[in-house]
Formats: sequence, structure tokens, C-alpha cells
Amino acid sequence: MKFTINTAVVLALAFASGPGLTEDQGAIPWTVPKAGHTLSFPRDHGSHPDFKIEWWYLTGHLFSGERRFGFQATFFRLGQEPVEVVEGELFGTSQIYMAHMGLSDPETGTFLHEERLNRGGWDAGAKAGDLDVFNGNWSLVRTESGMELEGSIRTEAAFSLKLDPKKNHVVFGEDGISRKGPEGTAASYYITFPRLAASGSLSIGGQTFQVAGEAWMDHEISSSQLDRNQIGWDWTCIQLFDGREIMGYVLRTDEGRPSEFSKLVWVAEDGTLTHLKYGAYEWQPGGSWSSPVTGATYPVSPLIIAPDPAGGGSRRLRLLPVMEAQEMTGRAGGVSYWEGACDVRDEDSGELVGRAYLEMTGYADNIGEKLR
Amino acid sequence: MIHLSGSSRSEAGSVGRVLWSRFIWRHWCREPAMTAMLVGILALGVAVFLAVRLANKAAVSGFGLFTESVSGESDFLLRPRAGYLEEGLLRELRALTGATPVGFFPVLETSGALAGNPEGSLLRFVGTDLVALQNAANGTGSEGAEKGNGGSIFARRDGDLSPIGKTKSIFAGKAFAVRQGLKEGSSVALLVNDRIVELTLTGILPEDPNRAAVPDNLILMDLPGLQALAGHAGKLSRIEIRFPGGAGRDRLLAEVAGHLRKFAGERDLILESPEDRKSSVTQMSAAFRLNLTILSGLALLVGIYLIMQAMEAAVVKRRAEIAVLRSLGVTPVQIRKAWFIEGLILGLIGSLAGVLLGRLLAVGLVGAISMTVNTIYYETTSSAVTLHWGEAVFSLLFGVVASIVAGFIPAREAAMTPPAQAMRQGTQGGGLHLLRRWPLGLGFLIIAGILALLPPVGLPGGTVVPLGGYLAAIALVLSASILIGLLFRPVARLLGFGTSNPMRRYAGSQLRRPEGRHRLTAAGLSVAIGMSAAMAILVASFETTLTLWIQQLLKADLYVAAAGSNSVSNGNSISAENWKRIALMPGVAGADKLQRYTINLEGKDVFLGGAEYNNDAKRFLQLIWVVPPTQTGPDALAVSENGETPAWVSESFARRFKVSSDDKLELPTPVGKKSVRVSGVYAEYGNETGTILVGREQTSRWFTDESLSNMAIYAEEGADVERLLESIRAEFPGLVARTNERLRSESIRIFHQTFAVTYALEAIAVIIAVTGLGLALAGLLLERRQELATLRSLGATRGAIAAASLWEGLGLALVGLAGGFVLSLLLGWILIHVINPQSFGWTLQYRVPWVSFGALAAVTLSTAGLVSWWVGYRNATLRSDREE
Repeated sequence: MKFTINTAVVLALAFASGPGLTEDQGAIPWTVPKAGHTLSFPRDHGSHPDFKIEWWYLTGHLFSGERRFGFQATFFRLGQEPVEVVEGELFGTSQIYMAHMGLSDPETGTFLHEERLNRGGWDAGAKAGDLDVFNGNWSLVRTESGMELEGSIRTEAAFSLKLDPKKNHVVFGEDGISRKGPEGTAASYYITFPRLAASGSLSIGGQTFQVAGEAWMDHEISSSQLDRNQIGWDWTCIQLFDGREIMGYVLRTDEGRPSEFSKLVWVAEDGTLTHLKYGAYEWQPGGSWSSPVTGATYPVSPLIIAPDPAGGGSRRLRLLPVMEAQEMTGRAGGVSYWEGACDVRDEDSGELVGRAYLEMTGYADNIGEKLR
Repeated sequence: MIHLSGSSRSEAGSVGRVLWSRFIWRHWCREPAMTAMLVGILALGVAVFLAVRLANKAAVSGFGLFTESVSGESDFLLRPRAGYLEEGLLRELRALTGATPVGFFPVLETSGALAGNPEGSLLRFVGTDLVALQNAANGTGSEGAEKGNGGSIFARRDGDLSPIGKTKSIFAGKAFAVRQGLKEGSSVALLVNDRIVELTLTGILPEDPNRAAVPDNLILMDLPGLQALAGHAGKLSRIEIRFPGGAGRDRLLAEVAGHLRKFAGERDLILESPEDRKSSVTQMSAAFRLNLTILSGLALLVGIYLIMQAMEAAVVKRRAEIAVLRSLGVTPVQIRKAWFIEGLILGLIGSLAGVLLGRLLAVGLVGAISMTVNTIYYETTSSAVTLHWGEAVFSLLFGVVASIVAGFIPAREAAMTPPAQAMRQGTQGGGLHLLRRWPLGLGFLIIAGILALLPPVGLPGGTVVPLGGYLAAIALVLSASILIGLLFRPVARLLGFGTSNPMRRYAGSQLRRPEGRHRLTAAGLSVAIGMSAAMAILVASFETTLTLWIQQLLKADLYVAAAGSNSVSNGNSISAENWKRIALMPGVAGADKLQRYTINLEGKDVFLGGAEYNNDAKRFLQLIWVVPPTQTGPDALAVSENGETPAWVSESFARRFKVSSDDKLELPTPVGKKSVRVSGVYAEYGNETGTILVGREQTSRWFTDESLSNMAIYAEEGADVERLLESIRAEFPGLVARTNERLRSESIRIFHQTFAVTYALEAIAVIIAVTGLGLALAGLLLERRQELATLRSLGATRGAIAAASLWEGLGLALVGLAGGFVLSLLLGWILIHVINPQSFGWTLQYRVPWVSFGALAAVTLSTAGLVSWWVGYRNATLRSDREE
């Protein structure tokens, strides 16, 4: 689901030209996700400028011989409410595009990341009708077989990946929409490719590797995901070696308990989804890593306990980060969060059962403060 | 017991200590005022030298690229040779570099002014993508520099304060806000071209100590906002190209730079590094700044003469001591070493004080220098003066070396003097032998003449240095220092002529047998006077020429220009709509119209003017010709029958590009290369860059631009010019309208401002020289204390002795003045006929400002008289038995 809810709002506030923008009032009547709406593809892989917030989010695990890497690439689109401004073709004001790239190299303990912010126009954009997004030299484009990703981090690293679905995309949420809060508008269309075969080249530290591995892609479309009492969340996507996936998150509230809108979804090998509400599954914080940059302490090794829809009672899955320092320290967006590659261990058998990406927000910054 | 003959280290050391404490330190303590003055002179010399160098640096530092102060330095700039870039180039550039992480930052730069003060300094409006600008700070930042980058100030604003896409939202530096009394959110009326617009100060640009300071005339806007405001939709002035940091940076640079060069080459665009750009711009004023630096050395040069004089005096004074030391076995080498140490210490103390003083003086000079650069070269803003360590050390070394050199010749004499001769403590003898050899002086004069004929030396980068001219000037100064000795006898005779006044005769007798210090003092004075007077000749010649030029040029009744016209970089213009309205106003008979553009010809920026002259055979702007064209009427710039475009070039242009009449030029324009034929060369003193004039018909087509930078209006016969002026001012508050008279006086005023620094430097040199005169006289009187005692016993009063000193001082000053004036006539000739044409390309008429000379003589003589009388009066009662 991505930490973006908050960042998106921070940025929307930053660039909004209209007066007093809040989540439910604005000059532009943004479209709201509707239950029962049928998405159509490839059109809905593309941009939806009538919605306010949209992102394409990729994470994955890449291997080259003995070396392994984790990567993250996210493209955001943030609709603006232009008032009394000049809307140029090359320098637009109605859309702002943000993008993040992250790369983890556990062997050398290197974590690289970069943020980028651009207005819609010559150097950033997202095509409506098909998947084609770019931000500077970064891009994600649909191809015949899947998609292609170009990414880099300053001049320290670069990657060029072919991503082909091993499994068709799924749409999370009951009735085709994923609810994030009590209000009807706080919802999204949540489209995910839970398993993509990744291959291509990656260069870091002056070396180039031919890499292959697996990736995950989320595409979320919404107009408002804000929940006032929310202070952050923990989110993960797990790719189990048995061919199934888990997407789960816990929305943390200022009352100290998880929001009732927290969810965990099992994706079966055939793409069948099993949705669980908080209570039916548990997310126990574990491990601890303190950032030397922001000073925040993250519980980097949580334990997730969830009933297995394939039978056999509960599964107890421990996330183990491939390296601890995987914090994205926010500069352009101003929000810091931890987003990193993990291995997944069965807590009972001690066996390695899969890989995951873990995202934790609201530890470094008081996001609630930023929103109000 | 002192072992003077010892050879061991410790013994040598003890000799040194004794020499130091008894031979040097004792003397300093006895005459603290003299020592302090000597140090002071040196300090002043070093200070002036350093001040000019620091001020030179600070004055032109403002020519920077704004992103330096906002987000750090770019790697390349891409700019057009003429006009603007189309913004669509950005897409081509991104396609060219593909997935490589290159940052392209588009910039539009226009000029403006304060609405309340249209004739005040120019404002630089810079438009860039304020959203993407944050990536510049971001992408190039290192992992450690996470927080607190300047970029986010543009983003972290909500509602009406967001600057993105706004045409009325500006950012400025703190200095600007403070000066205009603005806070964030306040509105300010500014002139953009000829329109007054109300803009909102959205934010104050933060100062980052690690980056260049924000220039105080910078106005930053979101790019599309400025494009709309200035009427340049879709246009860019340049694209700044930046490679992000990281391990692969150098490799990427090497890989992409070639593609970028090819891209620029194919489109005839300029791709250069910011350093290249900066140096090519500041190069333009290099000659001017070099001249100032050389002039600043003048004070130090005079200082050297005075130190030499004081050292020489000390040698004479301590001759008996030297003799005693020599007879006790101290070697000449040791004595020379002692003098060396004395010069070194004096030099060190004086120079250190000079560095501190120079830092303070520089603050006062910066404004004047940057104004000159603004007026005749390019728009710049001065940054705060900082004590640049390299410069400080350089000045310090310069001062120390100068004082050691100054002490070298006297020290050699001291060391060589045989004990027997030295024992005769004398007032005569000694002295600098070199200064007595007049054939040597003649030799220098001949060398100067030969050097003056040498051609200039071209430096890499296009600066031309009149090296021969400078060397000739030095040879002249040396020659004058020697030949001035010949003046003592006639001046002495003049003093004694037709008078029975014993004190005058006594003074005359002193000058008839001049000592080394007489010679050195007069030489120092003559150098100061000579160079000051030479500068006065240059200024007078310049002024005469300029006045004639202005009179010839300014013949219209009214002059209308866009705001901020005093700077050559002014890009403001009068819109076509407005000038056409002015042309139709009652009382207007016609006008000369000019629009000016900057183009890049053969890698050098020059002005291209589009001129359209008043269609009246008698009343139109007539240039002063260096090489006259065959046709000079109002329509002489019209395209000829054979289809050729005639062009007139300024003298500076002709020199820079080595072109003359009938040469063909290929001018870069927004619609491609255009061929013109040079048909005349005209005199122009307004800028050093050089101008090509063609018909406005051509430029308006080439640049698709009907606006004007200025127009000269001819009133109808009998029309009320004042009323016309008032109605133009009332109807067009965004324009600057002036009468002929006002523009002339304005031009002359600017001219004088330009030379303000020169005046200050000259004054300092003369002050130092006169101070030195007092110092020399005080020393002389001290030496003559036995004579003074005799005079007193013969009945001479304190007043009479003061009078004798006065006459002697006047005599010295007269020698210095006479020598100085002769020197100045020659130096002036070199300045005007060698240095000036070689470094600026300006032909000037040689004019000697006799009135200024008279004033300089009067001031020098009266100050010298006053100082000498005072020195005489104070020292008249010296007791003869006072120890040296």
C-alpha cells in the first residue's frame, strides 16, 4: 500500500494553490473509488488524472551469483488544484510527480536512495490509458510481455529491469475497493502484480551485474486516504516459496491500537484472495534498529501470525531484514520511513519460507503533526 | 665579555643578538615616532595594494549564476548565440541522454528595476522550475547532507503563497528585502520592461554559508510565471546541466559530455562550463582591473623610495657605529645581515598592519569599482569583502620583499664602507651612487622609448596586455628618479636668487649638495606626482574626448529609455505599442530608434544594435567616424541594391575582431547566420564590449521583436519640449524620459564616478609622498644638530631655523614637482597612445589639465611647506650632544 498516504497529503498541501485544502473540500470534485466498479486493463494500468493521488510502486529481490540486492522504485502522481496559475505544456501545474528509488546491497552494507519531485510536463508524467510513467531519467513502461523499469540513484547505482508477471494481477479489497478509513471517500483501487519475474542489469560501485529475481508491483488510485487519528503504519508484501503471497498492514492510531481498517490478504497460487481483518491476524513488533540520521527506532523484525487459508491452522512468520540500515530519509518529501528487503522465516520450523519487503512509517516524523 | 671573533654557532648567535639589541632596537626606541611613521608608510602602501585587489575580486564576484546561490554549481551551460532557446529543447535533451541521470535546469533571465526608482540599479529576474530546483539540491547531495537544503522553501507553502505557476510571486535575497523594507507576503511594485507590476514577495531566499551569497538584485520566480510576465512564452535564456554526485560521476560526465557537445554543435548553440562563462565575462573588465591593480602599486612604489631613504639615513647616522663594529672584527656579511633583519622586521610589521588596514579600505572601494564595471562592462553585484588569504599573503610578501629590496642598497653601502672612512661621521658622502649617474637615467629614458613602441601581448582568453607600455612606464619612473638629481642645482640657485635672507641661502646650500636622502625623497615625490598627474592627463583627455562625443551624439530633444538604462546589461525594452504611441504624440517630429541585443560572435559576446534613424537629413543621430562609410544619411543602413546588409562597427569591436571596412561578418541570429558587410567604423566610449550596428528593419525580422531599448525624440519646430517631457512621463511611468541637457550631465557624472577610485588612489600616493618629505627633513635636521647649535649660537631663533627647514622642504617639493610634471607628460603620453588604445581600443585626444596641475602643485607645495616648517620648528632646539 505504500507509505504514500501521508506523503501525498503533505505534498498536496505543499503545492495546492487553492485555499484551505482539506481531505473533503476542494475546488476540484475529485473522483472517488466506487464499490463494484469494474476496472479494465491495460487502460487502468495507466494514469487516472481525475483522482487526486496515484502511485506505481515496485519492490523486489535481485540475485547475481552470490550477490543479492533489494530494490524499490515508486512513481507518484499528485493532482493539484490550480487557481490563477499558468499551465504550460512543459511546465504544468495540475500534476506533481514524485518518485523514490532505493537500493540495498547487504554484502557491502550499502543502502542508496534518492527522491525526486517534478511538475507534470517535459520531465515527468504519466500516460492515461496505458502504463507509461516517467520522472527525469526514471521510467516504467508496459511492454508486450510485462513492463520495463529504468532507475538510478545519483551516479552511484543504476538498474534496467524487465519485469514479466508470473501471476496475473489481483485487485485487493471487498467489492473492488480497499477502504482505509470510516469515511466513504477514504478508499482506493488497489491493483497488484504479486509476483513478477525480474531480469536485467544493475550497476553499483563501478561494477555491473546481470541480475534475476522476483518483484512486486502495486498500483493504487484514490482521492483521499487520510485518517485523522492515524500516526503511521507497518506494511509488508511477502512472497512465499510455496507460490503464495501475503499483503498485510497495520494502521497505528494515536490511541495506541491498530485501526480496524488494518488488513491482511492471502493470495493463493491461482490468485484467489483471502481477506483478514485485524484481530483475525496479529502483527507483533520485534527487533529494534535506531537510525543515526533521524534518531528514530524501528521494530525491524516483526512477527506476523495469521491463519493459513490452505488449512493447517496459524502461520507464524518472522521478517528478518537483509540489513538494518534501509531507512529512506526524506528530503524533497520531507518524510522519513524505513523500507527494506527482508527474508521470511517460519518461526516454528525455523525454515526460510519466503522473501518480503517491509515498510514502516511514522517513526521518525510526527506525521499527524504534519497533517494538521 | 663578547667574543666578536668567535666562529662557533653560539658565538655567532650572540653577535647577532648584540647587533640586534644595540645596533637596531636601540635606534628604534630612540626615535619611536620616526619608526612608527616608516612602518605606517609601508602599511599604507601595502594596504592600498591589497584593498584594490580585494575590492576587484568582490566587485565582480556578483557575476555569478544564480543557481550557485540557490542550489550549487552546474557542470555545463547551454545557451544560444543570439536571442532565446526554445523550451522544447529540453525534451530533445532528455531523449538524448536517455536513462542516464542528468539534470537539466531551464532558466529564463530578464531584467527589471524598482518602480519607484527606474534609473536605479538593475534587477535580475531569474525564472526557473521551482519544483525541479529541489532535485538539484537533492540529487547532488551526499548521503550525509540530508536535511536543511534550500530547495524545500519553494514547496513548503500552501494556498496563495505557493509560487508554482504564479506570475506575481517572487523570491529575493535578504539584502533586497531589508533594503526595500519587505516581509514575506508583502507586495512590491517592480518594472518589467516598461510595465509596472505589483508582485508578492513569497519568500526570502535562505543564505547557505557553503554557497555563493544571494546577489542583492536577484528576483527569483517560477519559470512559466516569468515567461508570462516578461512576455517570453516558451523561451529560455539557458539550460543549466548538472550531473549528480556519486562514484560514477566522472565516467558519466565523460560519456555524456561528447553527446552534449555534438548536440550543441549541430544546433549552433554554446555549451560551456560555468567557469568558462564566468571568466569570459569577467575577462571583459580584466584590462580595467589590471590597470587599477597597477595603479594601486603606486603607493607601494612611493613607499619603497621612502623606506630606501630612511634606511639610507640610518646608514649615514650609524656610520660611526658601523666603523666601530668593523674595527672590532664584525664582518661585512654580519653587518649586511643586521640590515637585512632590520628591513625584514620593519617590512613584516608594516605589511601586517597594511593587511589589516587594506581589508578595511577594500570595503570602501568595492562600491566604486562594481559601479564602474556595471556602467561600462556588464551587470554585476558586489559581494561582501572577505579577506582572501591568498591575496593577504601575496600583499604581505610584496610588502616585505619591497622593504628588503629598499634596504638592500643602503645596507650594501654600509657593509662595504671601510672603517677609516666610516669613522668620519659625515653629512656628506655615502648616498646612493646609482642615483648620481645621470647617463644611466638617460639610458632608461631611451629604453622607455623603445619599449613604448612594442606591440601588446595577447594572453590566452583574449585579454590583451600592453606589456611594453607598462615596462616603458617603469623605465620612465626609474629614469626620472635618477635624472631628477639634475634639478637640485637650479632649484638651489632659485632659492638663493636675489635674496639676502640667510635662512633661504642656507637652505639653498643644503640642496646644492644633495644627499642620498634628498634624492630619494625627491624621487619618491616625483613618482607620486608624476603618476598622479599622468592619470589626470588621462582623465582630462578622456573627458575632452567624451564631451565632444556626447555633444556630437546627443542632438535630439528628448531621450526615452526603459528602466535601468545605466547598465550595459540592461535588457529592458520599450514595447512596440508604447513607442509607437510616443511617436504619435503631439509635438513629436520624429525619432532615432535603437534596439540592442547580445550575440555571441566567434565565442565572444558582443552587442548587436538595430538602428533606425530619424528621417530628416539634418536631424538624426550622426556618429563620429574612425573609418567613415561612403554613405552616412539617415537611411545609410538600409539593405543595398545588391542585397548586402551594411553594418557599422564600433572601434572596440574593430579591435577585438580585427575587422575593418569592407570585411564580411557572419552574425548568429535566431533565424540562422546572417551575412553583413562592414562599411564603417565609429567611435564609441559607452562600452568596451564592442557593437555592430545594422538597420532595425533587419534586427526586428531576425529577432521577431519590435521593441526598442531607447529612442531619441526630435520635437517639432517651436514645440514646448518641457511639456512634451511631462506628458511622456505622465503617460508612461515605467519609462525613463530625459532632456538632452539632463542626459549629458548624467553621462558626465557617470564618467566621473567611474574615475572615483583612481582619484582616491592618487590622493593616497601624494599623501604618502608628502609624509615622506617630512620624515626626510626630520632626519636631516637630526643629523645637522651640530650645525643647528652653531646657528643658534650665531643668533638664529627657533622661527628662523623653522624657516630654513621650510625653504629646504619647499625646494625639495619643487624638485619633486618639476620632475613629476615632466614625468607625467611622458607617462600620460604612454597611457593615451600606448596603454589605452592597446587595452581598450579607445582613441583619445591628448589633453593636459593645466588647472589640475596648478592645484596639485599648490596643494603639494603648501602641504610640504607646512610639514617642513613644523618639522623645523620641533627640531630647532635639538641639543648638539644628544646621542644619535
